Amino acid sequence: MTNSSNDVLLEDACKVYGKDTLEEFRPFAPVSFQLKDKELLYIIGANGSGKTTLLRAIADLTTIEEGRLTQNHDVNFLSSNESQMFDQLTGLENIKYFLGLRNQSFDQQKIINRWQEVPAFNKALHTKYNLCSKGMKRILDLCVAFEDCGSLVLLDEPFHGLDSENRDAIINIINQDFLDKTIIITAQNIPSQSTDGAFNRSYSIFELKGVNQ
Amino acid sequence: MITLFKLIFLKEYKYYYPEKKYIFINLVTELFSLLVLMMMSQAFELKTQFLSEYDISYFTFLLIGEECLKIPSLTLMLPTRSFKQLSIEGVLDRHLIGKNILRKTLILSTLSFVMIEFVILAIVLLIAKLFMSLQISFLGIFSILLIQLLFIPIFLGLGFLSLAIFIKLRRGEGFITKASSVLTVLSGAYFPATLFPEFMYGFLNNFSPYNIILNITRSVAGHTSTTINLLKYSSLSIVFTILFVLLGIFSYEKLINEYKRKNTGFNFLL
Repeated sequence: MTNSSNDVLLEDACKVYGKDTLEEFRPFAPVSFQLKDKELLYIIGANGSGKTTLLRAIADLTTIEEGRLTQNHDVNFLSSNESQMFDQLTGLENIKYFLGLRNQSFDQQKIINRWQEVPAFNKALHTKYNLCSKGMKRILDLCVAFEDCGSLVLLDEPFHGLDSENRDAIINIINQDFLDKTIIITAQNIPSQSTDGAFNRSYSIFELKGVNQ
Repeated sequence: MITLFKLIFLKEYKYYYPEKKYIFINLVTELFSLLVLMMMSQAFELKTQFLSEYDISYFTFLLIGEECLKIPSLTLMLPTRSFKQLSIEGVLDRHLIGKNILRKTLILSTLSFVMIEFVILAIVLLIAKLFMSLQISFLGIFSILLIQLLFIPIFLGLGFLSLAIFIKLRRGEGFITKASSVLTVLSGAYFPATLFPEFMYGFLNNFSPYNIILNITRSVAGHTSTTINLLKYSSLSIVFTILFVLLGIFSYEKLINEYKRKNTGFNFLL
């Protein structure tokens, strides 16, 4: 495979729990793919096929014991957990905190103006995180995932819990303003135009197989 | 770094003082503790020979023991507490991505809280000086506050060492709190450590950072510090600072990598 420094490259990469012990376990079969800079990749697979683990490995939140994984991006990672911000802070305070962690100068007003297209964003902005609905939390999480300085955005089932109106508005923002980001999205099924496949760029699909599949 | 500190400070402040009345309650609690210490010292004034080494009243002795170990104890416990809080709130992953963000956050969170406690300590010492019988000059109070700041790195290093143990065992915050309480008592916070058997006193005096900070503080407060003593304690402090900071950060980095490798997260009993 030929690759540039901004490509994400996996060659027979595999996570192995308890390597060389009786409890040795591989959540997924060895994975090989190459994702070019600014491209979009869907990783699809059934429950338990290891999508989240693979995404965490690309984010350097866990290690790969076999094969090779190369990526030189700053990563923004959105997990599928429902709660990923501080409960006692409002949406705006959380956005300021998390963007400030890595990206100390950002244009707050520009961000607010951009995301106001999303119907539930304004309400989420001024509500304490623990009082936000699942959808409002997801909007805030997605806002931070894209506005943060990382050039590789990893999204674990990102539109879960969002209604179609909010989801379409978010996809619209991504289509308009974040074409420079490389994106990997996990999903259970092949994306369709009416769900989360409405991005205005071509995408590739990698089907992840669990070891027993 | 200043912007980041400001962000983290505001978050910590909001967490520990969600409403202004909590600051007031905290201050009232501190004043109440002061009154208890004053009455206790009057009731149990020690035989003077035990305190002759320090040349201060029992109230001053007790107040220094009680108040001047708060910041060290907190600095030791806060990295673990902050780490646990990040994990419980589900934001640990966000801090683990990116080089050194988690470490920086834990240090700044600790310093934010220490800053609040530092202001409270200064207020308590001033109140005790102005309205109670605290036998320390204003210059002495300033020196005590300075000593508190100078010792932060040692306890921060110990804090990261404790955090490494916590990450390894996946539990142990209660144990760290208890260990800190035991070290506080052994340091002679409430009675002179000279009452312990000689070998124990000698060991603690030279190897426990709690004893070292208390001894320096009391000798500065009582103007009994000799050049030799100051040199001895300063050298020990420098050695401990280097040792604990290096050991703390090294153990923490090693255990965080192991945590990443295991990829199993934390399950806390809330």
